[in-house]
Amino acid sequence: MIEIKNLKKSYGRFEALKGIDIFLDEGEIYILLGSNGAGKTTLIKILTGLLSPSSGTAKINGKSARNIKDIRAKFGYMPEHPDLYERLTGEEFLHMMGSLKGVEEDRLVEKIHKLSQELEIERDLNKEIGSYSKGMKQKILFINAVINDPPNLILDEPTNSLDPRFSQDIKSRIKDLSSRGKCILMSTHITPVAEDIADRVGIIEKGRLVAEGTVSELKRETDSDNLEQVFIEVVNHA
Amino acid sequence: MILWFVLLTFGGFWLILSMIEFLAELDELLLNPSQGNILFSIFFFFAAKSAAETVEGVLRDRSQKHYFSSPIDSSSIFYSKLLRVWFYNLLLFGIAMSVVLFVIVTWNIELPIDDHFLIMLYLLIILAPFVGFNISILAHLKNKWLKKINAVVAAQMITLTGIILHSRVTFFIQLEYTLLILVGSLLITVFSSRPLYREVWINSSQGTESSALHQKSLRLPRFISKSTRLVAEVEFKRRWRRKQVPGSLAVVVVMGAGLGFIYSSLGPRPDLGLGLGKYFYPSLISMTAFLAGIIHTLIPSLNLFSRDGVKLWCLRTLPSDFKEIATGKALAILLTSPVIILAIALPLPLILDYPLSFVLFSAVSSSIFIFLMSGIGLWAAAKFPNFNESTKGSPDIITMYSMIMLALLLSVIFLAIPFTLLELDPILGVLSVILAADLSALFIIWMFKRSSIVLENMELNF
Repeated sequence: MIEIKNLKKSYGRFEALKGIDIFLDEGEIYILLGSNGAGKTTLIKILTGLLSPSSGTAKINGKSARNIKDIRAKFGYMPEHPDLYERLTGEEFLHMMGSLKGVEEDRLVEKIHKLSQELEIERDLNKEIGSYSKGMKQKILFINAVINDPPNLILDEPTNSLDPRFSQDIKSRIKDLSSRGKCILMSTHITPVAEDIADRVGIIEKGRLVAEGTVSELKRETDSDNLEQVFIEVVNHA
Repeated sequence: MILWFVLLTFGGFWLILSMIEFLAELDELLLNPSQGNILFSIFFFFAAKSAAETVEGVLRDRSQKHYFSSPIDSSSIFYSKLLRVWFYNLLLFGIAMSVVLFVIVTWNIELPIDDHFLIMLYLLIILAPFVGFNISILAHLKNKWLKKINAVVAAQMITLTGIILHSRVTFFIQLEYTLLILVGSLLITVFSSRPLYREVWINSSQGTESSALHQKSLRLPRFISKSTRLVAEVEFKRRWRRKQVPGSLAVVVVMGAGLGFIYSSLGPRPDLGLGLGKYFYPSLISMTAFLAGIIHTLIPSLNLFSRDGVKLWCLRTLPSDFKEIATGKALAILLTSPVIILAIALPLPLILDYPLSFVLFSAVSSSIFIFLMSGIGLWAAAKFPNFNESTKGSPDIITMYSMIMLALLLSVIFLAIPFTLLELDPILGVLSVILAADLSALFIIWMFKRSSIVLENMELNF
């Protein structure tokens, strides 16, 4: 469960977030859409404790994101850029992260093996991450996000750099995780992805949540045929 | 290309054998400390620095992809990088010479050097970057045989330079042979390194493809918490694979060997007219241990977090206690720090047959340096991180200088009383230095806590 109330973030005079309110329940997929620099990543970083808010509250399972210790075991995070320890092998990285997230050794090994096999990177796990393509790094990030089976997932552009086949695969995994009660907050630029899997969509523009609702509600309100048109319509009038 | 390397190898062997034969006939090989030793040490330092600069600043510079994907000729990229290393070396040499000149003029010191020494020095400073650059470029080739042949060629270049500088042949013969090596290095640079540069850059900047899973894994004792152990093991692996651990260990061992060399040159009680008397070696050992502490402990600790830079999200989103994470990071450096005691603090006092109290004092006081520097480094790493990617997390010069001064000040505070007591009563001196070591261990634990608080509240806006 994710709860964001009147969340603001300023850098000097620049207001990156101007009071955002979002509520996500268990089993819900909420997609954040927004132009470049609209504030999506800032919002996600506040939720994950990487940034602190100027005012307002961001809670994960009822615990404030300001107290990082309370929330860190409650979410899996996939950042926008695949910045990983390049001198570690994929397996070493996942093993370290999984162990530090408290996954038991036997279960961890089994899970790394299973997920890497499904995402077709098993044979590259013994290579240093520095030799991976961007798409392979994305897959490592996805495995890392779900490895400890957290109740909430915060995914920043998870299908970036993936080919259509794996993009489809990740989408179906996200749907599956949601059906198992996971609360998923995800940002993306790719409107067809959002249209495919979103329970609700929020459009952020210049630090404000300018539209929110199900895909069909948003289409109806803007008299649009698809989410891309909705996005353009909403952003142009924001 | 292989033929070229084989020719170079055999040609080099032939050249070395010819020179040894020639010099042996003259019976003029000189192994005692001389201007040749000084020149060779300077040459070796600058060649090693160039090699390290080439790996860190050139080969691992990913931004070169923009050059390689542009219409710029790859030879131009190669020469610009070579010039960069060469220029940095000259710049460092210029700064060092300015300092030396300032000292000479201010204190009116007369150095026993002549024009020949200076000419050779300039020549070697020009030569050293080529040797270092070539070693780094060719050592990153994928073909193992080419790598080995390159190592042989590089060793020959360095050996030849050493032989020339240590021989008592006339200045002009030295000059001729040094120029010959310079031409040889230039030829290798132009004909071998240049065509291979693009391939080598790809090899070294894109990470290693070989399986590295079970290499250099630490097995730390179970009484250390799981999170700390995991972070320490991973950090150690990363530092090892970046060659930071072996490089730093090698520097400390060379410093220890340098102490041995000074002892073999000056004898057990040197009288240099400095009025130091019996304090000469204790002071030298302390200064060397302090310097080794800076190189091996303080500076690596200073960029523990900023080196991670954009990757810090990994640690920041973990449910582990940050104190355990910070401790694990510091532990990866502390684990290899006893080399300072083994290579610097112990050998010379044992060789000089100093009393056991001094031997113990020397070892324990070095551990104080290590604890203090690690603590200061860790705290400054969290408090003053430098996330500028172009510096690879290295602290800015003012921070580095301030932390070195702080380490010096704290070392004096921690060691002043024990040292005074050692003079009065050896047993009391040893006991007090052990107490000081305990306090420095408390200091580092306190610093673990402080840095973890700073790390926990750090804004990661990148």
